[in-house]
Amino acid sequence: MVHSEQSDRRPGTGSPETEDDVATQRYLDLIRSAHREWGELERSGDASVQLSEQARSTIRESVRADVRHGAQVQMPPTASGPYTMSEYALRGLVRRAVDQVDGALALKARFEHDDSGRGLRERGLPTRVICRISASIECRDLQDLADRVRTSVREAFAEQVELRDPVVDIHIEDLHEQHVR
Amino acid sequence: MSSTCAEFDAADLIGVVCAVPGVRGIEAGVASALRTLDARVRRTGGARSRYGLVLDRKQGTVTVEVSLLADIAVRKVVAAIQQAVQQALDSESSQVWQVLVRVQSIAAPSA
Repeated sequence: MVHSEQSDRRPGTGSPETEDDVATQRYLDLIRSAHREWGELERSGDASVQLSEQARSTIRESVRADVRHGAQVQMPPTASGPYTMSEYALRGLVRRAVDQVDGALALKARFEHDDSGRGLRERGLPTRVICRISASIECRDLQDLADRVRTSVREAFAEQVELRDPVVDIHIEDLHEQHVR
Repeated sequence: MSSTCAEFDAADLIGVVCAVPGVRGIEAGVASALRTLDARVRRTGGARSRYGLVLDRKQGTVTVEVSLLADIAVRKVVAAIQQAVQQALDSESSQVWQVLVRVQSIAAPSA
């Protein structure tokens, strides 16, 4: 059994996910620009091996992106072939599923995987999702809240990636004002 | 697209992938970035790799690393990418291709 864990998020503070999303957008723009530069060099017949500043930036940023992404997680293949999701993408899927439940806020998630992953940087199919959440102080029925979050996470896995049987554990470990998002 | 009757290269396939609805962009991992630079420095195989896309004709595989938008289900976008790449490559030969998609990130849904 292999475990992976999501970074902390505190209610009412700027989330690390937002910062990561800004960094991701910057990186996508850099890659787009590097593709353009590469195409222009090839069209002009320039076979220079001198690396441009942009090419060097791409190396640095790709290392940072790899740290952000974490390991790749196996997903059930589509009819057209195999695919994987990074731990970062998978955490985003869980976070959105938790946050869309009224009164719940995602804090942290941990995954357990089967042993189908190959290599150090690849995990098998997720078998269990352990969600740590914050509940609104106005919530009167925490059991019901946990059930709604569990259902939302299960539905997200079924609809988004057709993974229908992960166990979903919910731990309420903080309380927050309803307006905090 | 630069290849209409010749072989598709990695740059052509980048265009094919980015045209699929739900794709936010190419998001290279460190391995494909280094492989691309290595091909450039050695002046070999430049047509087979770009940041975020590696085309291996010998193995019959294409690996593409993407960022997606959250508006469409992940699996649907992934299947559409695989089909678009396979259709593009089917037009040049009868080789069977396996397209591995790596979803690196998913952007928040548009408001």
